[in-house]
Amino acid sequence: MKTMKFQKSKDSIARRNLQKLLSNKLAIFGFAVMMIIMILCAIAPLLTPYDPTYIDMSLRYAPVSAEHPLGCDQSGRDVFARILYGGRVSIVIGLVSALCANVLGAIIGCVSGFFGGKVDQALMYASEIFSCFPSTMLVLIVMALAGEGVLIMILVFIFTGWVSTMRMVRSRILSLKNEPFVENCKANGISSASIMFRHLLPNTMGVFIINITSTVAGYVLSEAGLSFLGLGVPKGIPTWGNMLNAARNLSTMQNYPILWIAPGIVLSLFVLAVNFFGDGLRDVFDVKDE
Amino acid sequence: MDVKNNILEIEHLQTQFRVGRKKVYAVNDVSLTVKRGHTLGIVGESGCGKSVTAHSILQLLPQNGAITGGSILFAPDADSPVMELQKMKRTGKEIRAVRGQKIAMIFQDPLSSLNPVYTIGYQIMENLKLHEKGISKEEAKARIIDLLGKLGIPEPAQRYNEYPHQFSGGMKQRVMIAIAMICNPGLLIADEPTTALDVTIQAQILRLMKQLKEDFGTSIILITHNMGIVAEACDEVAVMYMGRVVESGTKRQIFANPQHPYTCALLRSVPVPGMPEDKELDSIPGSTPDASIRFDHCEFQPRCEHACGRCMDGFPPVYECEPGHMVRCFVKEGARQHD
Repeated sequence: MKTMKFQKSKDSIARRNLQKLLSNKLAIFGFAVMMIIMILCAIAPLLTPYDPTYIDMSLRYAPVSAEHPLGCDQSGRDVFARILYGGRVSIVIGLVSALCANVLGAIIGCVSGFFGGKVDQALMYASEIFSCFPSTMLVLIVMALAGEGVLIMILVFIFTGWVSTMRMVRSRILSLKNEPFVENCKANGISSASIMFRHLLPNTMGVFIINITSTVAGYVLSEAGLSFLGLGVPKGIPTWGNMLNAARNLSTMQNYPILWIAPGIVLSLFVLAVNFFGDGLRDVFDVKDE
Repeated sequence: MDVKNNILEIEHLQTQFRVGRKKVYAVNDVSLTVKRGHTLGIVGESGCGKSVTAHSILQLLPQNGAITGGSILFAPDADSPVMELQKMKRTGKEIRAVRGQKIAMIFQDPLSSLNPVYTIGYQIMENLKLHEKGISKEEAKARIIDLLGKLGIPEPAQRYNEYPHQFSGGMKQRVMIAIAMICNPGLLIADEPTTALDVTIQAQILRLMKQLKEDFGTSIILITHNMGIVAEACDEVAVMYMGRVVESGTKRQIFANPQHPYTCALLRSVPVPGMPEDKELDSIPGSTPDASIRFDHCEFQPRCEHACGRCMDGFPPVYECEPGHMVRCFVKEGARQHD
């Protein structure tokens, strides 16, 4: 009785997990860096008066100065402004693709694992087909057919990205659906859809959250990689990847290193921070070491 | 069906499973009657078909199992129409409306029968709202807290917001009973409700179920392999062996005047306080046969000490050796045959 009183009602699973996460210094550092970069990008208009797309040929390769903290690029656009506004696009691409791909994967995985049998087999075949497309190739083909664009890029990422989440959620559901509480739900007349999405899916939240963080970083990098090659986001829209594109020019690379080092550092820092945070989450949700 | 006295009548129920190419005959011929406001105990060894019978009632069989014969008649009230549960589709709306509302079930393992991510209040609420649409949140909550209190959960208003991991095994079983009882079902099926609990808690839960029966007038089917629990909590008893009811009657008839050799053997294998120290407990020789083998004679014959030539010839019919006391054995040959 005493011990029951001791752990009063506020001791929810969420709170316990939060405490575990807070004790992980690296994860908190990652979270802080991630949030700082995201907030700076969000409030970009307050931090810089420049338009990231405004071309001023008189400021071509302008050096670092008080007015232009990181100088200007080959078209005289302010680099600092481009990093902030470019971050917006890069992060949105990463977040939206990761979120949608994971939601889609979780739903498909849930249906697949719950129903089993033929449905499961069909969906697993589908996932195998999707996972054997190289996503870079697919981006190239789709862009060639439908034109460049942020939205198309996101759609392709979602299209190819749901597979790993689907498999993880499916395997969790496969073991969860044999738990006695599912039978109990059935015995109380709860419908299959409700058992699937209201009772089983929330139990896979751990997998889901871990996957989102790791895929956000992946998609930000993919965007940068594709844009670096000049195949992703159209040139006119500033993104971290499009800024790195400057490094393709040998003379720029040698003479104006700040043009590619600055966005490169921010990009690496963001990806690293997200990964640290993701690792922290993994530790929290990994039940094995409890 | 005798709607006035009985809430559930099972007649010649057959349930089979398909495992690979083999068929498993889990329930071969089960006829049971549950009287209104009474507790029926179903006893038998592991694998004799007790749980399958219970799952058949609510169509909760796994995909590879199916009811292949017999009928399950259920009359929630004396004046409502009789439902034929065996005809309902296992995922249909009809059976879902029965589950949880008219017939509720509690399971063996309370420790993992609750969803770990929701508070217990939420889980009881879900069942209540599902079957009583339009009930207001405040009213529902008040009713749940009231029921939790009645079921002996201390500080129910506070524990309403707690998660399953904050409850002990006995408390979890009380919560399970609360989920089952919140819609005030006419029939409660308890599938070995105390097996996972320690002995002192077992007694509390059994007392609780007795009290429920008196307070709410709920009829109960209590599945167990423990003769002690049957003696403690039941009014009628059905003894099962290999998917058949071999003997049934009132508790007094079964305990004071067991007829079937299997029942006698079961009763002899229960330790009794005060028995001589040097006396060893009897056990039933041999083990239960493979359920995928179809017998053409009494299944208990290989282990039966009274077996004779007749037992090899065919199934013994059911004899009624005293009013309400049925025995499926040639031992009672000469008594009135029951259909």
